[in-house]
Amino acid sequence: MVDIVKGQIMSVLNNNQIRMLLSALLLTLVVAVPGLAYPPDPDNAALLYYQAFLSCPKADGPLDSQLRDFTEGKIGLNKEIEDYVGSCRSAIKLAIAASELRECDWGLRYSEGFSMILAHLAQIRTLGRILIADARIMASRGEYAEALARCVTVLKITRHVGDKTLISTLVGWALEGMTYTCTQDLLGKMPGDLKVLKQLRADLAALSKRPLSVKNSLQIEREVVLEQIKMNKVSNLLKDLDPNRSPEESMKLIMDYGGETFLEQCRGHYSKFMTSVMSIIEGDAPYAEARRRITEVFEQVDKDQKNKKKEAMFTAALVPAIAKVYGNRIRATTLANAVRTAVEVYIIKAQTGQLPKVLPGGLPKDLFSGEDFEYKKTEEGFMLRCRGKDLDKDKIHQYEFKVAK
Amino acid sequence: MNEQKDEKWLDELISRSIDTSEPRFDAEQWKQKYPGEFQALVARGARRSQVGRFGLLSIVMRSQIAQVAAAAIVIIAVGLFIPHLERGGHQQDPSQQWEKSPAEMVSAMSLRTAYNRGGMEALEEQCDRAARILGQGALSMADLFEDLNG
Repeated sequence: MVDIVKGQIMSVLNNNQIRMLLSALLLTLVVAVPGLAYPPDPDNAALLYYQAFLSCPKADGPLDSQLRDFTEGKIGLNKEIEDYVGSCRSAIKLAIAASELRECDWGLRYSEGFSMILAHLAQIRTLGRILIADARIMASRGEYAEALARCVTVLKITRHVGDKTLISTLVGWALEGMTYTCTQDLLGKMPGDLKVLKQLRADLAALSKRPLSVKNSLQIEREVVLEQIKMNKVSNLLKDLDPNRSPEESMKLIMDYGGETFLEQCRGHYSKFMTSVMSIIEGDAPYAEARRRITEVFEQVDKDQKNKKKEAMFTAALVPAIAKVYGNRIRATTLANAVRTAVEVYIIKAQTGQLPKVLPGGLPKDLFSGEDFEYKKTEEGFMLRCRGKDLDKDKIHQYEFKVAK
Repeated sequence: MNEQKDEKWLDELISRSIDTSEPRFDAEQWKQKYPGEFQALVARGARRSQVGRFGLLSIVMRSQIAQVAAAAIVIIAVGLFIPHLERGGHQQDPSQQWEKSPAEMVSAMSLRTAYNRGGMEALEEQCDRAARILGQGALSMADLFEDLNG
């Protein structure tokens, strides 16, 4: 009996096709088993950022101020800053790994409306500062390629900060501004290095193709607010808007105005307003014209409020921030464009040994005017000046760039 | 040490430093002897009690030794009060900082209110204030072993 079974097995194994199949199975097992030994690294960047936040040693009082000043280029490097940034090495490594990931879901509870906690926004600024400080430290050692790569890392992080809430977008722009200021300083100290400059040009161009979208954040904002202006949630919203009034008082007011029917009118008013603003912000109108139109929409809300249109109540309470957002967007994009334009100037300098007499064509524009930046050589390098006025700040922005001798 | 206790202690110190037993004053005799002045004093009403409160001080100011003693007492008292005031000051600052909990400071509404109030600068400041409170100290392996070994 045993001989019969043995003979059958041997005949099967002698079959070439079956032998090949078994070999393939064995090979798959050998390759696959080590892969199954441990779970894969996370593909959600936020998980790595949260770990980075936890890995950052806390910078106490004076050190915290020094770090801020150093990040902004107000003071030089000292041992305390260098040691502190050195102690953040694990956090830096996590942040770099996170910045390379595509997905970033912070796990925000949008259902909470305006009570939603955005603690990561506070922490990401600190992490960004540490990375910028690291860039400046590397630049002080002459490692400009690495320093600029670190700046690009922070810019990638700003994309992860996200455009899912209006506040996230604003924090992203603020961090971006901090990074471009550092980049501006580094470019002014760096000896002309064509390869490094071309890499920076490519990185900045890639980032410009996926800017933080105000449209996206406004859309989500609108959905969150519309959900909050409903009978089952409106008391929370009212508590956030007017903490001094008790929920009972607020609800009585809503009921006196007509309950759900009134809230429906409020939602309609708010939705109409948001649609108008979003179409202007995302439209192609030049800055001054778009700003004028936004002002008109806001004047209408003011008028509705003065005319005692009760349904304008939530719109009037929730929209003032949006009036400033457009200005912030233009300011942030214009700074980014100025740095990209400056990189082109540095590339020409590295190629020819001379600063160009005029700016080459086809460069990113000053969004306040919709035109090219005004270019002027200075004693220390060159200056890019906007041709249009920032109407919120009542000033014309200009960006100075130094050139290393 | 509360303020009332300090005042009591200060009064006792002043009383001990100067002799308040002489001269003795017979009010009834004085009232009968100077009725016009007595009426004028009554008419001064509320002011009288204030003058009375500073009566001891006016006695102090008449004597040079008492003036020096009083000055020393004031200096000691100020010295004792300063740490108390400083403690009070320190207690006030955190209460201002903790007006909102860290979580409230970073709620969407709170950040939005900051932005509405002061634009980008105010928003950034609010984030940084929250980060200072929320900031974590990283746990080192040494800390961990210390915790495990007690």
